[in-house]
Amino acid sequence: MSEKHIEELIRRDHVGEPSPKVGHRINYIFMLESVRSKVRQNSFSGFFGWIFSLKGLGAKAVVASVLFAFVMIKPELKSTNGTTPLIDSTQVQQNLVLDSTLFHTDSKSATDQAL
Amino acid sequence: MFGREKKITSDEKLMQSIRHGDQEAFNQLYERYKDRLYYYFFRMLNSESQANDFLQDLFLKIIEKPGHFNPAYPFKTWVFSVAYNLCKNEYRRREVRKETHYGDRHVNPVLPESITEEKLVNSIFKSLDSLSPEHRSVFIMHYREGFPVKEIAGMLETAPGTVKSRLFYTRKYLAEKFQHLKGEIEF
Repeated sequence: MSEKHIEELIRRDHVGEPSPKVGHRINYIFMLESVRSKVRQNSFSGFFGWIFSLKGLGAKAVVASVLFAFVMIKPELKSTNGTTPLIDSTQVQQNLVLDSTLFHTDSKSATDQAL
Repeated sequence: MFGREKKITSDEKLMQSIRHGDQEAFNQLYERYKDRLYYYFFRMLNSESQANDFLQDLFLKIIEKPGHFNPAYPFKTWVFSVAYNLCKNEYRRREVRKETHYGDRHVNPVLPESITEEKLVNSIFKSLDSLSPEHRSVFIMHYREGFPVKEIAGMLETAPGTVKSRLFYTRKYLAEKFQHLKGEIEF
């Protein structure tokens, strides 16, 4: 019997099968573990945890500065006092007067001049 | 003829699915490896109950920390290296409890010539009890699982030359033990 025969002998060797209980047990544990990880995946806790952690500070700074630059460049996003942004009429300038007591008009003097 | 061919998924892809909680992938991987790993544990530890316990422990490791598997390496190599480490730890525990004494155990001289195949294999493994777990593991991994020397060296974190010499020594040892069967067995 050669070394190859030894190999065949060992390969043919049968020592029985593992207990089915092992399979049932680890399948059950796997099910529990995967359910737990799915719950973890669906929650925002991981994201908020990342936001307020010290991890990836560089990336966070870049995102924040891009957002800031975007707000500064886009005029619509600037808060303006007393004016309403008009989106589709670029030619019309409309001023709103908030306080009527401060309302000044030159219409009277213009009429006088005309007369 | 009209049935759809069942696609065989690689172990490594199954492991990726397991990471995402795929129960079917886990079942498939368990079915593929349960008998092979059970055999390995049984022959390494000589105990049915411990073989079951260790099989369970190994798959628990896969469930709890699938990230420990590096997809760049074959799953088979990785899983057997984990199995080997579990056995090694068990041998250390036994050593502490003084359950085994390598080298000084007396192995009964073997066997009548009308020996059956089953008895022969059992007596081979009984003889291997006198050797270290490394020798035993190399023997099983090489002859049962067909791992080449280089892969076994990777699993056992040792040099290929060491694996070769362990295989040589084991064969020589068995040849001495089974000398009276020289006509039938050539180690």
